[in-house]
Amino acid sequence: MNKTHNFQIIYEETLGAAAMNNRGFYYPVDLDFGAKGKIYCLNRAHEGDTSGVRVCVLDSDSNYYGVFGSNGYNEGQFIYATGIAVYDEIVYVSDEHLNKISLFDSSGEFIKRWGIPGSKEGQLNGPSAIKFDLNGNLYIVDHLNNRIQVFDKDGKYISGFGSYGTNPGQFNLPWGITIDSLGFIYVSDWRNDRVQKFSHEGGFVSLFGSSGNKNGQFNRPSSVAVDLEGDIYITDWGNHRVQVFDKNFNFIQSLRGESTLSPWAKEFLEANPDEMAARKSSDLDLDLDIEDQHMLSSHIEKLFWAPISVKIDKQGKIYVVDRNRHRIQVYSKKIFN
Amino acid sequence: MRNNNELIAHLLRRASFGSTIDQIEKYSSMGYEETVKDLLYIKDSNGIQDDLLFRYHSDHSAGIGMAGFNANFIYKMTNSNNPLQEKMALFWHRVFATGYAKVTQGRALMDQIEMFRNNAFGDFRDLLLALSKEPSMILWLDNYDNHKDAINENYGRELLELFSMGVGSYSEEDIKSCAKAFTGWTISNLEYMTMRANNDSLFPYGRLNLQFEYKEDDHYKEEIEFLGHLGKFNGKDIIDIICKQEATAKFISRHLYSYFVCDEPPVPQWPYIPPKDPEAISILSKAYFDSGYNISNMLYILFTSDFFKSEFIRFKKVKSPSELVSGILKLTGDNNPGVPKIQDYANYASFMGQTLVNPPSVEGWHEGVEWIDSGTLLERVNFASSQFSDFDKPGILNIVDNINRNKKNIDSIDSLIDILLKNLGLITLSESSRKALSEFYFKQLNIEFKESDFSFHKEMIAPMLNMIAATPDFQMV
Repeated sequence: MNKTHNFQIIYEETLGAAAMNNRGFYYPVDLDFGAKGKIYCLNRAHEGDTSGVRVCVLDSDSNYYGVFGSNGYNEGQFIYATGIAVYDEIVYVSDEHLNKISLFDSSGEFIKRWGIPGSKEGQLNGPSAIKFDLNGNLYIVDHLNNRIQVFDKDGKYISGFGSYGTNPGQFNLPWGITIDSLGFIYVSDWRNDRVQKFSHEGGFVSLFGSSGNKNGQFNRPSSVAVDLEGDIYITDWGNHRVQVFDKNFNFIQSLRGESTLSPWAKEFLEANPDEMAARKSSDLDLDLDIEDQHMLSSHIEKLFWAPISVKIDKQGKIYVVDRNRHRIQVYSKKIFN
Repeated sequence: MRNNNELIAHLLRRASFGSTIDQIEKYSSMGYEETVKDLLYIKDSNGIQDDLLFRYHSDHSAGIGMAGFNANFIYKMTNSNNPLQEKMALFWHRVFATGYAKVTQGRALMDQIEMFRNNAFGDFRDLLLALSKEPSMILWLDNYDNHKDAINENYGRELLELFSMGVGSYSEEDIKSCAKAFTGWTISNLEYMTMRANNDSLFPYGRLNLQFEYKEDDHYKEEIEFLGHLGKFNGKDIIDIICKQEATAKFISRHLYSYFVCDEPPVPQWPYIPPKDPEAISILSKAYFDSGYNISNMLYILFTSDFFKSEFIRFKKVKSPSELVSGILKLTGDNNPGVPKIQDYANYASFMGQTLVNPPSVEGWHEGVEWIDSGTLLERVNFASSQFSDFDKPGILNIVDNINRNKKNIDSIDSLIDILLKNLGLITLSESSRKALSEFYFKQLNIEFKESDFSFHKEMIAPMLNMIAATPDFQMV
């Protein structure tokens, strides 16, 4: 932690557990917050086992409200579910294979979907992360077109910016997006290993980050979030960590993951006392001489393994979707006087 | 030049997973021996974009089950810049067959295949040592249950019988000694990990990877006798002794011969049926000792030998399902890592009888003609047809372009068939297959050659490719 700054990010708890069906997560990729504390967690599963494709609805107390959506090409179904956003109690889900945005009501009933594949204005090629601004306009990371497109909530094209490349304002397979309280747009420019900041109209403002695994460097950043104070959180997906920066992009802290047993995980283990006993007698924090962070994360359960999305709720809690571990690690911000 | 091209094509079919005519011609200009050296040289980058695979396919990254792994392996066979490395990874996977059915740990099995890649061309001693430490192998053959005061012979027996020397080269006492030397070679958190494996448990947070652990206090420390050697041996000492054996040299040589040159019967029959080419086995065994057990050296000797270059061995081996699938995908140029269908390709190989990392037993798959029955043949033909019928695949379009660039030389069905076969990697067809293809052409397409404004379009070429893929010849390598 950089001692010149007045806050620290602290681990709070873990939500969820692996499950191929119903309650639980299976390769979760994104989440967003709805009314009454509901959390909508989008699960992509994988092609070898598509039964886990669904949105799982829960709250921060681990109450479970059900699931909706499934794998397939029909309405209400997904092939490559990628991003989720909730606006006005409507749940929007992007599918980067079908090139569709699907809409559901808060109970999970399918409403409609829109999206035309292609590269022309208003068409989509691989919509990944999605984010609403305060005016109800939907910003879509049109990642295979290497641009951001803005639509109204009914799918009418408004504007767009970005192209393929490495210059400022250009992208290489961008993935995540957020909009801060001042209206600035942040995009995790995945294959350029950087994050770019734009004005609300899409004008380039600044960028930071380079390829690597040192502080302030990235290996395929997948998501970005900004809190009310303007501090920035980035899932450094390929380095299996979350990096925290202040609003001027000064490095503050690196989070490698500290997961504990979630309420759902505890329930499973309490129902399986033999496995609980064996687990308790195990050393789950082995001291391993492994440099490869992907490999290390495969061995050490508490660590992030391909953290894919970061979101901040109204209380300022930071939710990290830990894809390969099928859970959400929750952090909070402690401010020092 | 044609003979040289045909020899290069033969090499690329056997030492790779097939090739396009462009690749054959590129290598041909290098010369045969330089091509062999190039195949044996592992480039720093295999050209596989793992970040893309991991982004779009979660299970390639985490490896819960075997499905994602299979797709990942097939994708690498098709697209790696180090095709012989992938071919050897598949080779070692066949020899040291380890199965998901018991391990239930996709990640650990993926790690084992990666270990095969890393040791593909190296010292056989290093490979056996790494294999003995592979957690998936320790689970698969129960070495975690091999204790100093309660020996479990499973790994020790298979190490000698199926992995290095073959039946008849050692005694039952040697097996016991071998097992004793590997006591204490286990995995961390044994009780929890074996319970999770037995329960096929995903809970609470997905698979937890397995870690090798050596437990000194569970290792048998008394003197033992192994293959005439006396000592207080540990596993590494045993491997050193194994690697010095003539039987080991012959065993590995026969495996390499069977994989790359000419099918041998299944391993359990080797003690009773002599090798098809004892002289070849002698040459390879000599290379094994001369090079200090170096696999790369053995492969160089093999690929540059007369017995490998011989025209009599060409198109005499049945393609394994993974070879067939990846070979066709190479031709169609279908290598987009970001689409769901790369999983389908692995599924097709399963339908044809080869689910990677899930062999039927520790013996691996019975290969050669045993790959083919009426059901698997249908799957093979259907897969080829499904791929060659997609006119818009880049490889198909490239073949059509190649044919049209050379259309002035196409004035008969024979010349059309020749150029099609050339574009499928300089393969050959029997006379009966050529005749059937010719009849199909005139019956179904009935197009005159040499019309002034004539050109071959993709809708004409694809059915011909489909027909070639349906011939018995196309199943051979």
